[in-house]
Amino acid sequence: MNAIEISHLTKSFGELKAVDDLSLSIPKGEIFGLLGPNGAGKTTLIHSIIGVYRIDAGTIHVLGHPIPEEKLEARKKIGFMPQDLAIYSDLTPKDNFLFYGRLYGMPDQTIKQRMKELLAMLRLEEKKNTVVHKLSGGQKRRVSLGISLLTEPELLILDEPTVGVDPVLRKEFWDYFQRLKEEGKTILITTHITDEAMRADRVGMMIKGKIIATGNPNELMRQNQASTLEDLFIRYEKGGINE
Amino acid sequence: MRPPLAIAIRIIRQLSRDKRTIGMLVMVPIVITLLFGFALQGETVNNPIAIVNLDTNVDGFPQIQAIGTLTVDNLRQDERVVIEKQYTDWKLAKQAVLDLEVRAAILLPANLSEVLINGENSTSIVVFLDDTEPSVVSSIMAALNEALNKAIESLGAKFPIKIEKQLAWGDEPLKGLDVSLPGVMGYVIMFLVLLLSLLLLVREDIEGTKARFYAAPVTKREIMAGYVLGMTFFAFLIVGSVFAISILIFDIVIRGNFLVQLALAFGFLTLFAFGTIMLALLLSKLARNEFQAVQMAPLIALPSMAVSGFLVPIETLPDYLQPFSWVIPLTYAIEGLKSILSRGLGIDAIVDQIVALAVYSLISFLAAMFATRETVA
Repeated sequence: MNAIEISHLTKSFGELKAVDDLSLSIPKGEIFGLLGPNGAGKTTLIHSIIGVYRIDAGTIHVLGHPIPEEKLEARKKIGFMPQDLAIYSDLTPKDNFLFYGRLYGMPDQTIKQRMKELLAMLRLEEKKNTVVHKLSGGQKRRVSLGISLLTEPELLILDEPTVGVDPVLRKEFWDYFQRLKEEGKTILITTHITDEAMRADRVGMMIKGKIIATGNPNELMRQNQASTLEDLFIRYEKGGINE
Repeated sequence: MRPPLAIAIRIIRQLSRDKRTIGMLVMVPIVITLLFGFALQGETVNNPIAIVNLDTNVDGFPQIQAIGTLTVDNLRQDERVVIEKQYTDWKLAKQAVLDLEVRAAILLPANLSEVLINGENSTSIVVFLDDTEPSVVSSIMAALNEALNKAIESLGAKFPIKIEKQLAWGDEPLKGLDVSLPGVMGYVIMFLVLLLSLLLLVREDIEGTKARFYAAPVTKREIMAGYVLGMTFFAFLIVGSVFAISILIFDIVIRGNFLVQLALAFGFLTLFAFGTIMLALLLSKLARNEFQAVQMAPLIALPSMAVSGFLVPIETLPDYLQPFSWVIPLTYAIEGLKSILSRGLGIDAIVDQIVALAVYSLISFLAAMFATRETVA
């Protein structure tokens, strides 16, 4: 069973077709990088997968659950890290963990146990009682990632998680994503940073609401005789390569 | 360019790009000035009263009209009052006040003319009053005094007649804050709950927490219920503070059983706060930033203040403004609180206000759900 199965998905906002007749399958245990420029429709696609938006056409299945019919069941198994920090800046990391854990119906004792593990892994133990707005940018990002991992989700959806993150922390994040993959988790990660997308098992090139190519990044480069993923991406965007 | 000038230009450019803010900056002062200007220019007129005129012509003076009849005729000419009911039974007239059909009942006693013609001063006119609105009371009393004086003067009588005031809802007269408390409480709840809810909701958008919120296994209804519960806690805190200061510092009069009326007021205000939170949910769809949210609260609250009966009785407002009063929730909140706190009445007396606030909450709730239906599944 695929973790994500999308067939002919369309979502428009007025005249703008943000996602246009898009089909995509992501097997379980894969890190899938969704690569696209700003405004390509990546966030709309993600919000449609989670069942936040009403879709205009097509079908979505997440971990076997049809969306939006069983979106609440699916969401229990999804960890989501939005593009913005999406943490309450006037609460402490501990308060944020407790709030989001409770939102997922986790017992307080379980939240505290899981929070302890995550804070240790993210090196935030000393900051757990510091109000978030006093933390550094990197620390805030780590809190945000920690919250998306709180429920030990089967599927992790990360919307540009490394924006504004320094190279050291970015490497730490990716090392952790690899560990999660080894544990059998599926990760869908959006990015517009091409060298970051190289770390994914497969990438999907998304432009103007459509996925125009999918495959292993190295294979895609070889097939199209591109020296870098960035070069390949630019050629796709300019229409130099047919879909 | 000097830094202060650069900062000033930046602020002007920044604001002028935000069309909603500019719109509100222009609209808020215009709407509020016009409303307050029109609302506050009226006099207290057309106050409904009931009359019991038991006075008759005096034996031996068939050519002299009874003082009671003259007084009633004079009152008919006075635009400050409208004689809604005329009874022969004083009990029925008093009941009309208790049923909130009229603001006052006036009893002109049987021997009024006789006593005056004989030059005695042994009788009195009784006025049974709903004293929850001082300007209405003054207006009615002034009209009665004038009507009576004119009647007495026309007969050439000498002695002023005694007027006995009886309060419909309790012996202890209402003073300063006692009268204003329902208005203050209703307004404070509306303004602060609206402002606080709007800021919280808009911040969810700005900080991006809403995105994570919507990705959690919770329904829209559960999210709304959570907001309502959280904000109701603050509404209770606000109401509690206003009550505490009113009781401890100003020793306000609460008629009826103190604890029962207090509990009823809390319950009633919770319903009002609920509707206001729903309104904030709806308005938060229109405010894109905290600046717009901050301006929306006064845009709603100040016009409500002008026409809700908080500053002046609704009867005092010009005719063209009065219909607005009856579509504004604050009007029902204040009227309900007056019945609870100043009249000492029970839940059966505020059914109309409860229904009105329930309808307000329901409409706001449905509109808020409708506003999110396009995008959020």
